[in-house]
Amino acid sequence: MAYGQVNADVIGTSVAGSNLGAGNASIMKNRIINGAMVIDQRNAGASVTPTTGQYLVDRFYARLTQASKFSVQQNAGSVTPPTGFSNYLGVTSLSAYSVISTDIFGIRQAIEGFNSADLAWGTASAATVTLSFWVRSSLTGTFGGAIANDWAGNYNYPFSYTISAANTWEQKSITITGPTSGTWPTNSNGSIQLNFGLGAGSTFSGTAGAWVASNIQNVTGATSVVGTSGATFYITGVQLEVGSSATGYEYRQYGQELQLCQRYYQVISQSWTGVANSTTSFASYVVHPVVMRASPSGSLSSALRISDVYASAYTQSSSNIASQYTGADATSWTFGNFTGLTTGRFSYASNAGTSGTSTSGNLQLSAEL
Amino acid sequence: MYKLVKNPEGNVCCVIKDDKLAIPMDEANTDYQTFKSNVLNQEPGGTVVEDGDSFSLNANPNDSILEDADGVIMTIDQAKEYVRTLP
Repeated sequence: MAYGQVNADVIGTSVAGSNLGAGNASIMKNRIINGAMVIDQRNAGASVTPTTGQYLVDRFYARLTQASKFSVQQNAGSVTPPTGFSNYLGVTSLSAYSVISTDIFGIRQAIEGFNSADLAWGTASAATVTLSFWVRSSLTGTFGGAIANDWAGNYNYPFSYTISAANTWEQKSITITGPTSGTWPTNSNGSIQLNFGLGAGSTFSGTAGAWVASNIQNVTGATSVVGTSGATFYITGVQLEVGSSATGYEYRQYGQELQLCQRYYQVISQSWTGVANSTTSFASYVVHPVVMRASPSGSLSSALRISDVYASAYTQSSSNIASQYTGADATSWTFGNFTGLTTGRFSYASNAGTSGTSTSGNLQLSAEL
Repeated sequence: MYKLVKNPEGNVCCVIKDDKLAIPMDEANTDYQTFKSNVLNQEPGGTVVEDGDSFSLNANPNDSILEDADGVIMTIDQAKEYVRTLP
């Protein structure tokens, strides 16, 4: 390229029609957060076997009606991800389970209304979107999923796709005409919900390719991953964007993706401060590193250890937590089950013991959809 | 099992689930929405099921899954009446 010229191809794909905004912006085009499965705050790469609905890698949630039918792990099986990706979400079936009519198994992500309001779904101006992703399975055939309204759960678009070759990464693309009906919040509530099916009974199965005013989340006849013991289902590069064709995956910087995730879940692991408000309780005020979607629920990963200004350390006999005042930007908490604290003494939660190893529970904050 | 907690001013400010999860009384918090739904949908002697997570009720079929801030288990009717007053 000669000095002073502009590469028209690059500019053209980024700002086609020069109408920046919904659908044309080259950044934040992907409405899915953590679509490359990079952030895993809860499990740090460890395998989990859901017994109830639970979060996996950040923003992705396992939905199930029967416990322990599959395990999930970031980079399960340690296969090579598609070119350009470093991580994937891996599901492994733990039995050959035959679904009953009311069963549903899947992986989902809900999108906040603020992040999809411009799509104008539920109106005559509803924007067309395209879902794209990389998938790899030990099974072949037709697989299913659905786009749904997260808030009401009664307006869905089942979709299907075909995996042609076993144990091979394949990229899929599905274009969905925006719905002109249904309830699609435009605030901090959940709006669009994306579901990838792992098996479903007749109650939740229907015909692909059209909006339906019921809770259909998979496709009739779709392959049931939970139906084959040892079957694998790996996925990454999940992108939902405005437009009628898929474009390249929107890579984000790690810190940026982490901050997007922290709006919904974050871990406070080191040195938040407070005061002993009795001999058995530690009161603390925590400013959130990222403003959360709503006032978060709080939990401890294990018993909390604190140190006071005289370097005396105390550990809860068992985890105990209560919120006192809560907001999206900061929260105050009390932690009971201590003994021997000096009332009024300044203390800090400490995750580093004398050996330098982790000895304290982390504070886990959740404002998920 | 859910328990109500008061702040230092004596106002109920938080719900504790299974002694592990502190839930703020914020309408936008989905754990709080689930708490209200579970209490309102409980039946005498029945079980509340939340996405595969079940809460067995106490031996007394009229006992609810909600304990007040003084440690007293509410009846199902009391619990439902209380939750209906919440935002």
